Amino acid sequence: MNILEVNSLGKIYSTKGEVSYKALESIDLNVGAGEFVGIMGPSGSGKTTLLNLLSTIDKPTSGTIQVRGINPAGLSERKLALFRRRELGFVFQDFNLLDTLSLKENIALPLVLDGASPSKIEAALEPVAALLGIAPILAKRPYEVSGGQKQRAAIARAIIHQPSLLLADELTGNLDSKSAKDVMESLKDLNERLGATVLMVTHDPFSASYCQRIIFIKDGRFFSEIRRGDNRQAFFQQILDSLSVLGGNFDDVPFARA
Amino acid sequence: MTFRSLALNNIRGSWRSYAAFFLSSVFSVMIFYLYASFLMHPDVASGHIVHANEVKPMMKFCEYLIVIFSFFFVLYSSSAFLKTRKKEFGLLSLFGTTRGQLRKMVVYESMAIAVLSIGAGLGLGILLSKLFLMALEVLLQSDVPIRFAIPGQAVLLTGGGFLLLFLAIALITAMTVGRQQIVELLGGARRPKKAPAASPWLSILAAASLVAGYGLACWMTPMNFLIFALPVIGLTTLGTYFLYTQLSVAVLNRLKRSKGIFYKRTNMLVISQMSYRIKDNARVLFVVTILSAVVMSAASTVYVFQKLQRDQILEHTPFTVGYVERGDGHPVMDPAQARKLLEDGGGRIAEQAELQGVVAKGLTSAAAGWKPEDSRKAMAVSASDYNLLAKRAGLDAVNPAEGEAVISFPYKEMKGSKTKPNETVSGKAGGASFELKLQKLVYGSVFSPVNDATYLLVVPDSTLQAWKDGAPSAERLRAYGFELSDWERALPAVQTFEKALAKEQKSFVQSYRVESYRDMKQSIGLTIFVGLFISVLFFVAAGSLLYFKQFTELQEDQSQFQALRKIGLTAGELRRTVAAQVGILYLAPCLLGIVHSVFAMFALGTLIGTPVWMYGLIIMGIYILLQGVYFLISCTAYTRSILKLPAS
Repeated sequence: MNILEVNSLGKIYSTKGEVSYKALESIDLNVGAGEFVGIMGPSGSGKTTLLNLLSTIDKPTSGTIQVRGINPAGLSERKLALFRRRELGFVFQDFNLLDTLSLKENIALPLVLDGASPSKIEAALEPVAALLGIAPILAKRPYEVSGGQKQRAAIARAIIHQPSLLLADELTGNLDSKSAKDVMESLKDLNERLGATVLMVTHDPFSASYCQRIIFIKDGRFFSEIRRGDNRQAFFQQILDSLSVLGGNFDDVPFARA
Repeated sequence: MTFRSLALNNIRGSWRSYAAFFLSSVFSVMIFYLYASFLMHPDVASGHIVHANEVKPMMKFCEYLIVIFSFFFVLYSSSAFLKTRKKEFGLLSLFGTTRGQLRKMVVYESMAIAVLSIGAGLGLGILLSKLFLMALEVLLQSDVPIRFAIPGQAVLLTGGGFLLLFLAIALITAMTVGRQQIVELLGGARRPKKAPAASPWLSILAAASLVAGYGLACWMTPMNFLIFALPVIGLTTLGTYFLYTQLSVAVLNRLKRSKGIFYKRTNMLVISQMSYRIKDNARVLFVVTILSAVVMSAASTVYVFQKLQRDQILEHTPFTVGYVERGDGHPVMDPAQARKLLEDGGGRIAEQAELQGVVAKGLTSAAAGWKPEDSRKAMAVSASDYNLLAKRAGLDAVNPAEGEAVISFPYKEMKGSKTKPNETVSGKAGGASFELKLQKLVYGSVFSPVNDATYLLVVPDSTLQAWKDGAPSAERLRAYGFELSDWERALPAVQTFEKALAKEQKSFVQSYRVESYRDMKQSIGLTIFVGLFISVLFFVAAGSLLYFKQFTELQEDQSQFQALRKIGLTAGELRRTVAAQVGILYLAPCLLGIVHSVFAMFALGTLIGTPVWMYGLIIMGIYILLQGVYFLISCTAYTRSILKLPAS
């Protein structure tokens, strides 16, 4: 069964003047249940636009998106917010954990907002925290832990409500290589053990090598697709090859925020 | 782009956070100019407007108050602005901007805002000064109209004075720029804050001192007022401070531990952010609370005194016009003629009364404090006449038995010792000496207390009849009273009546009610009028401090709110979360200030013997309204700025 079905999706940005800019053009994409899919492309290829459309915070100008058969374009603003809250999970490059809450409270937030009972929240929290290896630091606040721990807490927050689809945006962009490896291992575990469906946008070939399948886009269009075999090392090499074919500028990793 | 245009663009860019500060500055300049334009008005300066002297000292005092207040307000706001711009200064330094250039930029910016607000304040002040003068004209009851004028001196003083004030503060704050390392500046904006903690002892202290302060205020009596007043003020102030810094945090932390409440939808966001918000703003909240309590209590007190003085005037003058006559004929005035004079003056007579009695002389009574060497005279009246009038004045009836008497004092303020049993009153009346048992002393006048009728000696009807029969005609007394409808406006009628009196007759007449009411109303009206501007200025400034604080802080949280939007916080939930956080900033000091002043009014009520707390409601209403407007504006402005931004 497909969790996500995207049909000939397009997005045109137009300003008040007559100039319009095609950010995305006829993208087709299907993600099955339990898949771990990566999206790569050079700067300006439309990765972020695609992710914004998928996360329903932006509306497409053509084509449709369906998550579990629901088309978010037809929902009212309030229903859309509830849809994001229940069906989608988000992991951001800059974590976006609330400094005023402890890690545990941050993770519980989606369930709390949805009105779940405290006992149910506790029950949902424990296995996720254990799996991501953050159980001992749950009482700490975000500024007391490392970047990798923050990002794992953010992943926990994104999946605690068992969303249909987990969307990740450059989640290792702000991490050192060791933390990035830990985070990617965690995400892989999650995908394999809990069967979470993950869609990740990245331009880091190393992170991308954890995916089962990678879709390359360029200038807003589908470019190519590669699948992983048994060997991650070989897949990594495959990604590097594809990127060199793709060309373009990949040096747009922003600096870690001051 | 020149250096100056960079400074101007900075202001334009952060216009939203400057708006409230600008507004309050404009308001201070405007009020300062309004007062100055009156004080330096050519007609006032030349002494042409006679009544101006009644209001000049108070206005001068207010001018000083505005300057002092503005100084601290602008100083605080300016340094707060600079703190929020650390990162910007860090960047500019990184690009090689020298410290001197940074300071120059800060001064440029401050002066640009200063010039703008002085200009706008003066403009508004000049526009409104005609209205202001017209209001003063009415309140001063000036015979000569105060013409519209723009006194150059006032414009110069206001413009020059405020320019100096702003410049001084700009230089002071500019000195603090560039003292820190660039690294600190760059990292300054986003240093995580520690979780707010509260000491349990100080929290208990806060609650205890508030309870004790309020309790003492309720226990206050005229006897212990002097002992209690300072502790009440001290305890409440202390309690307020620790309420914001400790108790509020303790309560919120307690709420956090209760999963049933904390883990309930947006409560988690509201409660956890609230404790930061209150702790960070504790000092501002404290100052605003105390100042609003002071302003509200003062305003309520003035208002209360107006009411009380009116009641007192009415108590002292049971009739608009009243007089007493002794002997045959009409040595003062024929009541028919008095009636005619009053009506000629435009008055409508609502009630006319007459009271007959005899002079009782050489009165001594230990209970009343009338010693033989200091004997008094009084008008002896019958109990039935007295009771009729007492009912009209809202006083209790008396029933002296045969051989008994009651002494009626004109003013309640004379209340002193109580009657002991077997006290007597003795003197001469109806041509014979008497000694009667003093049944009791009563206070409050039932008839115009003047001359022979200042004190009344109430005796049984039969006793009075006997005295009347025995008294020579020269000792018979008649008192006449006229009550006018709409007496507050009946000054011309009273004046027509007074003009017909000879000088020596005036000591038998009481007709000052209308005039003293008018004088009282005028002086209180002026106090309220002049004070109102200062209070509103304060409320506006208090609101703008909070507006600014809240706006800069919420800007820091903006990215977090955006992330929450992505996670699926609905627009309604976001609005509720923001409203709760913003609401507590505006309404907490407002409500606590009101509670403080309600207790202050309660204490005042027990001091003066009448409950007065309800009079402050009007002023409190105005305050709540102003804060409510601020709350709505900043809440919608902020919610919109989050919802409008593209969420990416």
